[in-house]
Amino acid sequence: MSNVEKYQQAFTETFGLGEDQLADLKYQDVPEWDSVGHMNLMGALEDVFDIEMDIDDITDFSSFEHGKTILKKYNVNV
Amino acid sequence: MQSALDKLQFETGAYGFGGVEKLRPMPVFCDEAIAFLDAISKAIFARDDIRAYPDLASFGFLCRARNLKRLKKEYGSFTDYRCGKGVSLHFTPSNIPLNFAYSLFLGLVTGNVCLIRMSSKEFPQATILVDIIRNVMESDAFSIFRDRVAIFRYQHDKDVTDYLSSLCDIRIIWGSDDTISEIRTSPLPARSFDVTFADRYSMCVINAEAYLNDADPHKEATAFYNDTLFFDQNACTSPRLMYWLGDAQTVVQAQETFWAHFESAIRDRDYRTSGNLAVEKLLNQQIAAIELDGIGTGLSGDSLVRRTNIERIPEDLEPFACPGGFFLEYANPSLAPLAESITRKLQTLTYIGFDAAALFDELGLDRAIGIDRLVANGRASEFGLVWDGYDMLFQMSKKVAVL
Repeated sequence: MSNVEKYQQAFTETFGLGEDQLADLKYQDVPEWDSVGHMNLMGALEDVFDIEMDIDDITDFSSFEHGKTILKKYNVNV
Repeated sequence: MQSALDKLQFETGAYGFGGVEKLRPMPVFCDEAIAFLDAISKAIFARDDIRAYPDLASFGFLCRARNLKRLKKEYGSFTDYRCGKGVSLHFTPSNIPLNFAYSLFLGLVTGNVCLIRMSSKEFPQATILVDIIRNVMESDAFSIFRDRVAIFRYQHDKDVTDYLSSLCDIRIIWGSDDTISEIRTSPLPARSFDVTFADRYSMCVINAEAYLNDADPHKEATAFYNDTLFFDQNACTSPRLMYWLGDAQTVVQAQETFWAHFESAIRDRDYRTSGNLAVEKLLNQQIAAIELDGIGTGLSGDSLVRRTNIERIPEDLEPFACPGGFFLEYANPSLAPLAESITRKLQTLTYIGFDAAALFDELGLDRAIGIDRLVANGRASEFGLVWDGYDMLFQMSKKVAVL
């Protein structure tokens, strides 16, 4: 599975969304991406990419798109 | 002694205490403790009702293995040749539902045996968590922790506290100040010591102009809600006083914007306060009006949240503090009065519209008697190994000098 697919899957599985709903998705756009959903998503991304994220990056992770920029810091290209 | 110990009500399995002082400590951040905490984390997130308890989710998020490995990495070679002190005894408070769990977390990552006294107050998320911890301890993979973790309650009893204190290498006491004084009447072994978390209070400093230019004033108001009313403003980290930096006109404008957003954050969450607090808040507002030349207002004219603009910051904020939505506000074009009002009791300063490093310098925090935490608005209750000015990794462990 490519990184893009892994990244999308973390979102679709955590929030129960379709891939077509991800492109403009931002924190708190859907009820599932609340603070608890956010922790689940961060845990899923850490596991799938085998990284340990800093709290500042976890706080800053505000959208599907912006998340890609954050993951670059951990040498994950999505 | 056994008759005194019969008064203990165990939340985890029954515990004998005999021979506890002979148990060996573990290395800090040892694999066993990381796996144990990670199992607790997984069990928390496996619950269907987790959304009802964001504080439980936060604790679970802290306990995940990846976070612990990251924390360990941050300490680098400071973790070498370092293990727990031995037996840690914890007296945890009733104002924060999961405080006992954070104390347990500290004891486990630092490699200590953990004897935890919970408060007698019942919280649903605390009940859920002790059930989870007990279940994890019952699984064969974590049987070693059956000797190393005991969570219990008892009504105050000096004989019991004397006995438990005689067993411990380190005693952690989460305030109030009265509780600390009371527990300190029970002597400790010669080499043992107390780490106390006494009564403290917190403030928030807001740069009015920067706030008004902030792109997301609603986000700041919501973050402020999470720091304050989420805990009924009962946490020592919940700001009591808001220090507005700016000229009078800008401050008034910023206050109007801020409180309008705060009010909507309250309504979104359907916050309720108990009736007696409404009276207490009104009373406090009048005391502040008399003693601090305060002018009081409420949000939307109701009694839910009471604001009081004051002309001078009291030397001790405590008599003017009240939980459940009571905010003193002070405005000044300079930060000097804030720097002058830093006392030993001032624990956390949250900030909006500042660069933390510049604010640290401007307030002279490199030589300040108070303020142990300078954190962005919304992160007041964020737990870390550094708390109240202590680095708990060092406080609760011993280092072998290897020369």
